[in-house]
Amino acid sequence: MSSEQIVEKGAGRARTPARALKLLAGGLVAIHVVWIAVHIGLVMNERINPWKLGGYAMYTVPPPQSQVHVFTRDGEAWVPGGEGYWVFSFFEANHHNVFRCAAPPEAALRGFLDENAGVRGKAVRLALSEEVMTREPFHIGREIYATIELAWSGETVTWRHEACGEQSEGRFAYAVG
Amino acid sequence: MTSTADGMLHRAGLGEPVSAEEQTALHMRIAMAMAIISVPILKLHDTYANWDVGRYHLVAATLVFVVSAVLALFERTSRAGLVLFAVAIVAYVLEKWSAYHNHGWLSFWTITVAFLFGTRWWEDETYRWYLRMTLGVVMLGACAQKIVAGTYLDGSFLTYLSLHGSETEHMFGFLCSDLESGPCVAHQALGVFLMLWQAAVGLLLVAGVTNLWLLAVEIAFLLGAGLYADEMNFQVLNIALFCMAFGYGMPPRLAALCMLLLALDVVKISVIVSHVL
Repeated sequence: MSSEQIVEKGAGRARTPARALKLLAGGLVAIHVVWIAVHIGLVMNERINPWKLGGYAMYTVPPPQSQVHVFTRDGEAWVPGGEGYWVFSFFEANHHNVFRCAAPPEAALRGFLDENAGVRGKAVRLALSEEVMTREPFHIGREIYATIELAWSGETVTWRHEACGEQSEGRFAYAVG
Repeated sequence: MTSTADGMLHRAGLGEPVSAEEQTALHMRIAMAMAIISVPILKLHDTYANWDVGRYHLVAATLVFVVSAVLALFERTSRAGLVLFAVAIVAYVLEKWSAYHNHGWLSFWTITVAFLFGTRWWEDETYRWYLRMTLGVVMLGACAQKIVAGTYLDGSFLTYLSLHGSETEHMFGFLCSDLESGPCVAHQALGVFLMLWQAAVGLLLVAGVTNLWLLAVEIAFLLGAGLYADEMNFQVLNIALFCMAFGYGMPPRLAALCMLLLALDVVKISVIVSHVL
């Protein structure tokens, strides 16, 4: 094999990964563009926390700082249950409340019941709130944007979720004892 | 410095550079190390929480970030450092994707793939192109998000920060006489200017402009934004990425300034200002 042939063969080998890398770089930029466009759409429809999921909408609205409030039944009325409840497992399994309108996964509700033995067997309402800025009139405050009610029938939990004008419900078995 | 020490530094690729090319190569690796080290600084407070809840793999990943930053600095180990970074950040993303902050996502997009560009990644024009395009797209995306939110077009977000932001974010509060009643023309003008600047930089990056003056002005702008938002880690990441994308790298003096700012970020400027006032 001549030296020219060797050089040419070597150059060919070098060209292939270079071309692949260019394709990879271009592809990644394209995916990034598509994701940002999707993220903008989700933010416009208020489906997600604008500060999360890599869409670069941080510092466009106040950080929502989503919180979970617990209400219990007093006759027909829901009354604030106070602050003695753990919501860590709920928050973690509910993807940090990033998806504003989505019903919580069953694991989130189970996590809440696991962490709060006192509410097992009792009707409970969870309310999710966030910091909101309205522009006209100019106002900053905390508003409830989603509720989840838990009702019991023996060892079956029925949940009803309401957010963004949408409702959903489901049930799962949970051993109270 | 003794000749033996000189020789060791040269072998590590950190000695006094002998040519402009070697100097640029060193500055590129410094920029990469600085970009990487900004990531664990952001996760410092999370690290305690991760330890408390038994996420030891994330604590380990945070330590791996630090090791990878050191390795990225040296010619021989730079690529190994980048591989370690990729492993650590993938561990973070898989575990915390829904809570992951935009700073983390930007480092994920830009640094994770760097090792694919060879042992001398800093010489690869495709990687620089990728960084420029990614930063440009991010700038334009952030500008589009501001337009959609409308809170920069009317200045209301700056008014919100002047009222409820950190101590440093109150600095433009004096521009409006009655913040409680809403944004004034000055905040609106500032909001529109910030949006236009972001759009202009994004377009210039996508167009492939790598002018040193543009880099210098953008670095000054990012430093100002970091001081305003009291969040230097993201700005250090941005500055380091810009330095690499433009192909100049980061000179040691700028790296020293960035390290100082990262140290300030751990304490927070607002805390210092509040303490002094």
